[in-house]
Amino acid sequence: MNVAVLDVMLCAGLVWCAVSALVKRDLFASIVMFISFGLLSALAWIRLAAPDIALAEAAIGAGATGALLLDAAGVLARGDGSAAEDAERRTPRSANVLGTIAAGALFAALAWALLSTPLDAPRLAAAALTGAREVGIANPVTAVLLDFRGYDTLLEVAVLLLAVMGVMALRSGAPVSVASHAADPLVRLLVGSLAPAVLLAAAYLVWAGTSSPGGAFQSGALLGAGVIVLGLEGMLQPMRVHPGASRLLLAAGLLAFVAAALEPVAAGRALLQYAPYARKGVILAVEGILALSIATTVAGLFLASSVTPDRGKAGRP
Amino acid sequence: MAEPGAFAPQLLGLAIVVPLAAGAVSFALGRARAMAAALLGAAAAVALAAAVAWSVATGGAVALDIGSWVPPLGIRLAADGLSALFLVLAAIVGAAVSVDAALASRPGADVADRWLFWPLWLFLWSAVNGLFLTADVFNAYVCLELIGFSAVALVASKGSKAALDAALSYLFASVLGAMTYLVGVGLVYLASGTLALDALDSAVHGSASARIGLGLMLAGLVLKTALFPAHFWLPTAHSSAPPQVSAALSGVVVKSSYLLAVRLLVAATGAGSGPGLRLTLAALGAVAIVWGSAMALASQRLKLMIAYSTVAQVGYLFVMLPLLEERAATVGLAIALHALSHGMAKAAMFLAAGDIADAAGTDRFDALAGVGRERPVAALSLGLAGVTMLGLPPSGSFAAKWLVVQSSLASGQWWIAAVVVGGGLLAALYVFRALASLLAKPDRSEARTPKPRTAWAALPLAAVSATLLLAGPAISRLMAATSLAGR
Amino acid sequence: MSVASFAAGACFAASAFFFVAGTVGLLRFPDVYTRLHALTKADNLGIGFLVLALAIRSSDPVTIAKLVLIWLAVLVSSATASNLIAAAAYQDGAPWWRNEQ
Repeated sequence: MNVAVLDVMLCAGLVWCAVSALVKRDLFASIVMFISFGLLSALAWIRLAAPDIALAEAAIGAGATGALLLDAAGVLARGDGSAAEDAERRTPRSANVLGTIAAGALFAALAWALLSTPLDAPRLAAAALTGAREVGIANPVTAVLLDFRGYDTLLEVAVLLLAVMGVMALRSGAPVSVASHAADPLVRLLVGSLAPAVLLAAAYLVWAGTSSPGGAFQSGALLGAGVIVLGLEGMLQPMRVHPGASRLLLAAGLLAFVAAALEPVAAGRALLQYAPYARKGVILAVEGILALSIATTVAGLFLASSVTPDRGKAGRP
Repeated sequence: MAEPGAFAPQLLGLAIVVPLAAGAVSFALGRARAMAAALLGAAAAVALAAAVAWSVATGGAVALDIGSWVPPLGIRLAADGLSALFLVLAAIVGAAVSVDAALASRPGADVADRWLFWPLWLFLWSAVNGLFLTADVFNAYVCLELIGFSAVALVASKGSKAALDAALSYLFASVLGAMTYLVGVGLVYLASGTLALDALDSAVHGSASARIGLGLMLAGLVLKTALFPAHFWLPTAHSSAPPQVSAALSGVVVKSSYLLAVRLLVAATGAGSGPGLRLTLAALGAVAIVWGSAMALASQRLKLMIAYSTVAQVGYLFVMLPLLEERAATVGLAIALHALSHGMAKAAMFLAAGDIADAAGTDRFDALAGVGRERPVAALSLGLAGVTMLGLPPSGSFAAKWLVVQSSLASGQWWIAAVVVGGGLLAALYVFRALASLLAKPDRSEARTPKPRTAWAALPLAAVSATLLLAGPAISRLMAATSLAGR
Repeated sequence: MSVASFAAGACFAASAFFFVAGTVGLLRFPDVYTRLHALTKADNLGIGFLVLALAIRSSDPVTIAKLVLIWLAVLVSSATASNLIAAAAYQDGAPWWRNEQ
């Protein structure tokens, strides 16, 4: 069986989805193509042997983002039409032409640069693998993310918190709230029985992250997507979250990471230089708390920015 | 600590992580206590910046390998005199912005409702400090992202339709710039296998794709720094944000991506960033000076005028670049002086403009007649900041322009001197026009309802900027611990 | 050719037949409800045979258990999704097809 045929089909499908997401006149159809693009790129990441990214892409790129876009399209479709008009406002032809020329030039430059890059140039992968073995973390991706370049990740975690703050600032500081509607009994049954499985899978992903693909981001994305579905079906109502508690939950991941970064300084070591004997424990603890914060972030971004009380038709404009 | 100097590297990490932590705590505490936590964090950030500057001035450049992982596997933070001075700029402007926002947020004022300003602002502060200190091109991207998103959220936090529109185009420009930069980083990494800034030279030397990568990185930074013609997003974003946010954006944020651009140019001196590239950037800078000043002169609103003046002042920072290779020490000093004095003066102008717009209910020039009499402190701050914009002694920008004119004449590039002197004249026109409308006789007699607020934070900022020459020895001493000569 | 591999091949063929039939139904049937019918019924059989074929070829019980789990997950989600789509179409008043002859 020739796998290359499948790869070519995958690439063609990616390009086709991307192009039709751009050119479809119907907003809903274009979002559906965007979600398909996300799912296909998750497959592409699998083919590139990057299951970590594939998991995150499927959960966030296709799942949470797609849900947000569908929700926004629903709001636009129900509005007085001015918002929808704004969204479909045509850009001037000159801007289109300039943009096309710039994109074409960029594409040519990138293609030439990639083709002229020697394939045998030195990379950091070998150093990361050796380093990961030395510190005893079997999954080199986790070793890079939480240890060698943990500082990058620390700042990225701040970016996530920033995204929630940005949404809250737009809603003048209103806390996360969940709208509900009478759910379809079939969906309720399915979602209700899947929720424990999602929780289990999320916990497993954190635990597995130190030795195999997984970790806080994948786990948080999965958990967050699960919470979004629960929220959409109105099943979070009994456990309405106190605003202060939800803020603490959102910030906890960053605060835990900061604590792990500063503790070595207090002990006279460098920033983020974990004590060798505690390394694995610290990383696991930080990832566990991070996963909870990321899940709250993903769910909060969606549930806080969806503005319609009538959720029944949100996804079906 | 065995010796006092041993803690110096740790200061670099703390200068970034402490404001970040304060921002997170401020967010977690919520509306009632956000400001208190943020002010504590701001005080710590100021103290840490001062400590870094002190240790660089006394002990020379400092570096920290985070987690003790040596580059290229790990990330290095490094502070020379230039980074230390930019840290100090962020600290001075940051202190003024924090004080002004605290004064503005007394109960009943609309700012009290915008408590999210505090965590967002500390995140922004932490991220610019991070960009000033990082010696890793990918980590710089993460800092750019953090800066971009917090700045966009701060602009949008005003809530008006104009602010939302401006925030959206700012977001697009910011993401486009960051993405372009990131693609460049990817190409450089593919060709060289390293992300360390000081390994860039050898990477770019051998490989065409690394050169394209360097070009893309610079293009992204040019967009982020709003160098003409990539300035289109700046005037609306900077003029429709709340005054404290405008002050931080114009005073510090545009300088952060500029500093990274200079570092890239210096790191890749040996190849890639030859004289042609620097001349191109300088030519764009020259156009920016003329165009920004003309648009400032043509604008009908005070804040828009100040924002366009930033477009022009960014031009000065780029117009110096062709001289950097020959006269690294002199031009490096000029860059530091100009960035510092313009950063403080511009922040002071925006804070004062916020006060004036508060009093007049608008910032349209035709409604500002006589407001200067109601708000003497704000008018005085604007005037003092104008001294810097014009480049009069004893302001820092006077010294900067003096150094640049000298170097450009000595190296035969007289056109740079002409642009620098001409730009000062244009600045005089728009500054005097603003002051004239403020101090004009009020055309109507009814008293406005003055709100109990004064631009107390703007005045010292403008005053320090206008007399920055007095700090010349300290600045020279710090710049002595800096090498912009390249290899 | 062993019995097992012959059985697996037959299952693959059956699976392909049902997928193709389902796709033809999706393209050719006249309204939303009949298309859903073609899609779910045929695809459930198609993936059932596919899982069966893979299970016959696999000798590892853990892999077989995973395959069965995947099969169950697809069954449950496609049943729920088609129910939702049908309910939404009904709510929006999607037209019914009637055989006029």
